[in-house]
Amino acid sequence: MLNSNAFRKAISKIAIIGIAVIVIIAGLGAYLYYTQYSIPNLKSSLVYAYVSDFPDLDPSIAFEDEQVILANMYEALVFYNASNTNNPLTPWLATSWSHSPDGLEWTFNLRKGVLFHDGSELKASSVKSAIERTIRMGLGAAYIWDAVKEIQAVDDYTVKFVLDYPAPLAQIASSQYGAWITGPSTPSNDTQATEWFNQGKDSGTGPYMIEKYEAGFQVVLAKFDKYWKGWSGNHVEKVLVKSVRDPTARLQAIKAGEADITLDLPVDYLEELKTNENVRIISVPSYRNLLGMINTKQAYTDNVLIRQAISYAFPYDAVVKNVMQEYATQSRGPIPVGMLGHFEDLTQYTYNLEKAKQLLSQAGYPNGGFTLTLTYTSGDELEKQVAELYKAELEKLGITLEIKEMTTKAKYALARGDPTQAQHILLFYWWPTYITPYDFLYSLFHTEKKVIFNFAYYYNSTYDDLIDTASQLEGTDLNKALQLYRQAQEQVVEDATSLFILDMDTIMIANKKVHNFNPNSAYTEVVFFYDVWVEA
Amino acid sequence: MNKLTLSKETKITLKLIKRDKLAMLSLLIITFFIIVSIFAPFIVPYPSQGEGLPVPEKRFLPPSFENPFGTDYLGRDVLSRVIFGARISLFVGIFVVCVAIIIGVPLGLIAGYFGGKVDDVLMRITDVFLSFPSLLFAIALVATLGPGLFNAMISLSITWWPWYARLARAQAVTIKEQPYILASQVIGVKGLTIVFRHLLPNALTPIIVQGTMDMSSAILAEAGLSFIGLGAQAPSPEWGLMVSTGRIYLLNYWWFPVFPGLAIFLVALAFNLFGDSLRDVLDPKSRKAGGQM
Repeated sequence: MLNSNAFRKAISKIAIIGIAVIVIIAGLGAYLYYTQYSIPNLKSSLVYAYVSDFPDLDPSIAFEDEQVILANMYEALVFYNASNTNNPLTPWLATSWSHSPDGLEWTFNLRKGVLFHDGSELKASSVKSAIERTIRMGLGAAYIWDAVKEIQAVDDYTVKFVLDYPAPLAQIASSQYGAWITGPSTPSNDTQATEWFNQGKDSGTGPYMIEKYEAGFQVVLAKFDKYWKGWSGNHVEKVLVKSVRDPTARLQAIKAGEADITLDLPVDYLEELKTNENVRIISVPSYRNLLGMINTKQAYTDNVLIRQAISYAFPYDAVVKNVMQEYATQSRGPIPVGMLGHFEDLTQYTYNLEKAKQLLSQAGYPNGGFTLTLTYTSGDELEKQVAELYKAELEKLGITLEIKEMTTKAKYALARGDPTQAQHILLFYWWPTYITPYDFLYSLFHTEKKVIFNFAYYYNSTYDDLIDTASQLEGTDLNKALQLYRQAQEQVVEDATSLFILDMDTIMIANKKVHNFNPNSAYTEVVFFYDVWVEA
Repeated sequence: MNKLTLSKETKITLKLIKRDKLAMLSLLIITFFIIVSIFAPFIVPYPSQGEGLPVPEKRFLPPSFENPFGTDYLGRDVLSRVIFGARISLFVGIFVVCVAIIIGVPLGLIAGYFGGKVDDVLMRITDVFLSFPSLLFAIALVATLGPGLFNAMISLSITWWPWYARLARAQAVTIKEQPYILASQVIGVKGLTIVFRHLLPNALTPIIVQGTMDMSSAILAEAGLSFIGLGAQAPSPEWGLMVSTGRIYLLNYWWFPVFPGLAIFLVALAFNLFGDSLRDVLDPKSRKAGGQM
């Protein structure tokens, strides 16, 4: 018979050995798991520290910065690949398209097997009702569809657009505003639908859906399992888009690794970031330019000689080199560099005070002696620096520049009042809704019954005819259209309707662990999260 | 009062101030800033930059022998601008306090001396002004007048005078019972003459003390207004405006906002300390009470 004491000892010995073995195995296992057998190359989430919030998530209305979110939840019929300048239009929800010779009928063949987030399939009827909703509501960028007379669902996978007048519909369908295809889960009442969207709901076909929406602060996107491109390969599954207004905070976030991607840091911060091993700076042409619209109806600047004189007095080189540190180029006419309709040999004003003085003498003001006002948006560092540099130059001509810092609202309120009482020069940026020269040339200088964005108050019927004709030819005879656009641009440059200051770059800053990130100039500040992947 | 007693008093005052090391130091700082601001165009390294001429190719140079305080976002020498800024800040301080005294003190003395309905009306008006938080009131005024240095000074003066009216009234109420005032009344001197010939000189001491201390508050308030964009406008070298513009560059180019900030700090501190000492010296009562007010 065993001594019970010895028995107990034996048991405890076994227990001790057993525990030791388990600990060793577990330790070894963990060690192997975390070294040899783990797959350490993928991180499933990404943080994008964005500048502003997203005031309106209704894809039919959104007309500010919402494309940053919407382009990841929705898709359009056509994708505009800005890096492929020869053939930028590529299939997206439509696999192919064609138009009648007169450009009045456009047929799009839809991709099969595309699912909306509610599980229903993409059909021609959804495309029809989505675009009809945008047109019916008539808000935001709805005007891009102005040419459309009728939309027909020919069969489940064919949509036909009948137009009133010719228009480049494939380009229009690739717009970053007002062209997103919404699905059948959209509430049928239009205003209720807007509310529904702004609660953080969506009805797209894109790779991501909103998981959590905190208006004004952040949006959490999660992957849509049944996305038509599938999820094999490297992708991020969750994305946090945070609104971080303060550039210093964005700089800190990217430096500390709290954000994987951010943008719009003052160029003066970039020098420091260049030496940072963890981040890289990606700069692409943004199709966005900085303009100083010159009032053609106000005293002094109603004289074209004075407008030309002050165009020659702008310190273009100093701004490009010293303020922008070459992250921008001097504009050549209203269409930004890299975009359809930009011409490298268009007339350009240079900094030339002699020439400016000569023009002022011709105008009868050899020694200046008058005051011009300039308005800019408060908080915009670049506009502020540009304004102050310009003031110093005009002073050399004897012209006093009164700089007024205003909120966007106040600036536009003044500019949209009586032109003869408005500012002389207004600084602002323009970027296209969809990629066409017409967007710039129409919005900025086409005759307007009521002032919207033509802050030059430039009314010239020859110019209007030129660009209207060009726009109608764009879909059918692009070369002819470009020729007319060129003529129109020469006209506004000669008339000095604006200071054509800078063509901006989009400067995005990404952690080096973010791969396959290629900003697309046609979709402003959008990160196509599906394409990028993040190293762990 | 005859000349002899005045100079004797002044002598005592000067002696006491000389004994107070802190007062001397602050006086030194104030004098330094005053001299520097008077001769600004002759002593700064780059006068045209001080007034706002940009030098775009020299942006954000760190402090060096050429630019002791570095350069700002338009390549201007920060030292030159800080020195030019001293002119603005000191002028603003003096202007605001003087206007406030010129408006407030006579009203206060009249109210205090005549009493009755005059007192009631004048004091209720000052109460109305005093019932607004002063900086908020100034902001509201500038917002209606339009942003600008001069408008900022006007609005600060408007929010400041009621304090002096109160102070002067309190003085008048005590002094008007003094025998020499009663004597003047008896020989038939007119009310207003008494107020300005006899009350005013004798009520000045606490007002000067208050004025000196308010210099710092006025400079700070104006810098605050400029900071939020309601005061001086670019390219003015106003200190508050410089701090405001430089704020976003603090992490990378600290010298741009730090030096004007330091200047505000020094001047405000100097005026405050000097005001304190002056009060101790001029007012024996508070000297004994250990400087409370």
